[in-house]
Amino acid sequence: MEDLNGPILKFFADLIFKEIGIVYNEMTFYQLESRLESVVAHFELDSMETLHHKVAKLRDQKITKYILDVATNNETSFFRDAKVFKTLIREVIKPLAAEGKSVRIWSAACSTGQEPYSLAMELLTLQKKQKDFDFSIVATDYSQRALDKAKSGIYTQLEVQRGLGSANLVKYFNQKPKVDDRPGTLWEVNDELKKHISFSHFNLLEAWSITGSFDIILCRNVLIYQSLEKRYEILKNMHRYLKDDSYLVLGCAESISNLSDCYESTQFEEARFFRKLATQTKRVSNL
Amino acid sequence: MKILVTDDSKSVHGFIEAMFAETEHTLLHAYDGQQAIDTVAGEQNIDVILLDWEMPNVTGVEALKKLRDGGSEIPIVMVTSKNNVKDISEALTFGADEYIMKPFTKDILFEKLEMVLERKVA
Repeated sequence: MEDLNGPILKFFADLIFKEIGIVYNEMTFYQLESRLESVVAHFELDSMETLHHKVAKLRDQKITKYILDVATNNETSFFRDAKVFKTLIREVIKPLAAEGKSVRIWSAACSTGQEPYSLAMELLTLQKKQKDFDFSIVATDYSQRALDKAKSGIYTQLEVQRGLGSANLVKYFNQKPKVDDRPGTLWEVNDELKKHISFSHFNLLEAWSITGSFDIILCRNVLIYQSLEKRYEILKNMHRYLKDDSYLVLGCAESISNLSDCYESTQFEEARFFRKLATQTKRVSNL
Repeated sequence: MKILVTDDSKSVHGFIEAMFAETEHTLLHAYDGQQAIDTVAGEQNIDVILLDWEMPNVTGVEALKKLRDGGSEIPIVMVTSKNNVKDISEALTFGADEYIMKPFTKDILFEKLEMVLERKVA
């Protein structure tokens, strides 16, 4: 199978890298193949060759956009890496709140919304203890499919049990009436939570149109899929959007590459963040 | 870790046993609420109780109330087909630490166990 589809997979891997910077190589071609097969099924095509023909020769934009969408990894859960959330609240947000500052956060790869909603739950809990504390969350993602789900705030019974404590489920979700044969019911995030988050489509590799600056940027488990050059580009852009001394939060396995003059790695008891350093010098040549 | 699994369905016991197959945790088994209460009375160092709701003799939520009224502070996770928000609220009010709606996955069970044990330490 892989031999037959080899050149086709290479074509799509190149296309995906060029458009959104995600790297698929021979080690991960099996993942790409399985995702492309889901595209073949979605558009009711007869084969991978037909898919290739539609995109390479006929330049079908609808199919191309869908492929780029499924190429992103949307795996997530509520409070994924719970220690990150605890550390953010304790070490970064509480000190800002104590100074009477409002907090602006960017969830830069929010996927289906679990990350910004988890943050909002924690921040609302803090707000209940400290009434003058205010916050807002900007949540963006490349995948329109993921974003539509995030905006709806509707999750299955299995999804609301991944990482989410039952007390938060009862407090921040409304149960929807059962509509189909799927086990359990759907659950929708309530308006109290939704009103603190604005969702929008955003490609980290295109021109950045975000306004204002942030106290915290979360960009978790995105850079691992990018090439070194794209990683550098994204980290450099994020540096511009962070307030001085504020924090960038990456995935547990991710780091700042060669940008030690832009960010300082700060190890807290249970998590590591990257503090913005005020001066940025050119390091492109070091890559 | 010593876990008391309480469910009137043998297949649920088997399912949970399979989830713990490659771990060193010890599972104890009870098939109704009264057996769970008796096991807690007779067994030392139970770390967590998994409790179904609808069972013969003494139901899960009755056992939950009795255990809490008797002063037990062992973390309790309800594991049940009852999936209404009112049921969840009721169980939490009566002292359940977490609530799992069936069907569930190994990830869900292990994450919920981690949650209740972390809270106990904190």
